[in-house]
Amino acid sequence: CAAKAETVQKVSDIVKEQLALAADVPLTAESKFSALGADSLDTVEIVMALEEKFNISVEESDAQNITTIQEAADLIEDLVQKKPAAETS
Amino acid sequence: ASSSPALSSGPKEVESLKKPFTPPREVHVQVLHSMPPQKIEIFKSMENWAEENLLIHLKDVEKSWQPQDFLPDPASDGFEDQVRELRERARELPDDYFVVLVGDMITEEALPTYQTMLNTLDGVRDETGASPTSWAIWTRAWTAEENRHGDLLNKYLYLSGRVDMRQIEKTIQYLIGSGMDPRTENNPYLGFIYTSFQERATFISHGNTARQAKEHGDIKLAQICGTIAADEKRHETAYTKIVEKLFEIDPDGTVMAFADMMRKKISMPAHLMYDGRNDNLFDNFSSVAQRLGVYTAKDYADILEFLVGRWKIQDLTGLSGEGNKAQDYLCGLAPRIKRLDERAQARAKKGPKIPFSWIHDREVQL
Repeated sequence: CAAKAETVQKVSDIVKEQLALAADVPLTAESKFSALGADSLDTVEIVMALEEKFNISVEESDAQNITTIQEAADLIEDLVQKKPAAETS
Repeated sequence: ASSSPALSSGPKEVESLKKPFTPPREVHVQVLHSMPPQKIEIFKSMENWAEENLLIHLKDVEKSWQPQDFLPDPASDGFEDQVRELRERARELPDDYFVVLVGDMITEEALPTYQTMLNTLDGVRDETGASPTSWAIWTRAWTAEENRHGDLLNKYLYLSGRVDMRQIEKTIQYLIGSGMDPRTENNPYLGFIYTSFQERATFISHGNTARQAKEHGDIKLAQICGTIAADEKRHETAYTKIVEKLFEIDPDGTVMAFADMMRKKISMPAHLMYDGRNDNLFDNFSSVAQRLGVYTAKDYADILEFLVGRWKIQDLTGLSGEGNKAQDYLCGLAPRIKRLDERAQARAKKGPKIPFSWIHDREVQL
């Protein structure tokens, strides 16, 4: 299922900050990081910023598959949901 | 690339199609002649400079070491004993060390590709094969010096008895047939930034194989790798001097070329290697080199940091807007790479053991 609008907004803010985008650059859930000028370094840095913000840990293999704000938001909600189970195991 | 190639003064792109004998690996879209033609004059006008500042870093053949100086002399009575001693010392070296040494040797053996690469560069290429320009003299003599590296390592590995020479020789044939894709676009700015980086990278990796040979008790092999490393250091000095001069003449163009090269990432010269069996041979070889600490992601960032300091990127002034952006990017890049590498290292899972054909399919930890 698709991530909540709130999560998408939080991800957008981080992407905007990380890529130092001007305030008027339009971002949607479908915005591709590469289309916003991100290289592979930027993409990993976005993932690192998301990890910090949401207090999650993204697998290296998943990190490389995230290309849009929507994909990032979906993965985050997935990880946040799984978290309590992971902590008790 | 958006406008018609006939009208465009910018880089021309040629589609890469899959044909027989093309690299087993994908290469990038091939960009040609990205340096504006008028800048060729810069290199023509550097002829005398190159004679006085570049050629002094070459070594006279009569004063140069030769592979034979480090190998058993087949014309001497002691040859068989010397070979036996070499093999006894080689027995103490682990398989993973041999994988890295073989990969380094194969990289050196693809020298025809690197001479070709230098001769793709506009304004400095050897136009006849015996051109008297300083640039052409440098390229031929550099190649002649480098040729000893693969020669020496090849003969050492043959005598060691530890490796599958036929598989190694196949890898060399595949590699030379594949070439390389450094994305230097016939552009000597990009070309000399690439060679500056690469000479330092080979200086570091041969230096590390030397140190580790010593740790394993093989002083003779340490000497071999150390001697090669010293050549690479001298070549690094020469190539970084060319780029230093370019920063003096054309700081804006040079800083943008440096940033462009780093954005595209410096690919290793042997990145298209293949042994006829393993489709991930280069990645697997690189993993072993990373694990043994012969050449690592941190080394990559360190080389970048060194070059940024060597060319005083921080202190460049009077740049254009684009030049300023390139400067900021370059000054911030090494710390970013290091941070990401630390993250990757912290999460790295132990790799699998895989067989390498170079050492008779014995398995080595990645």
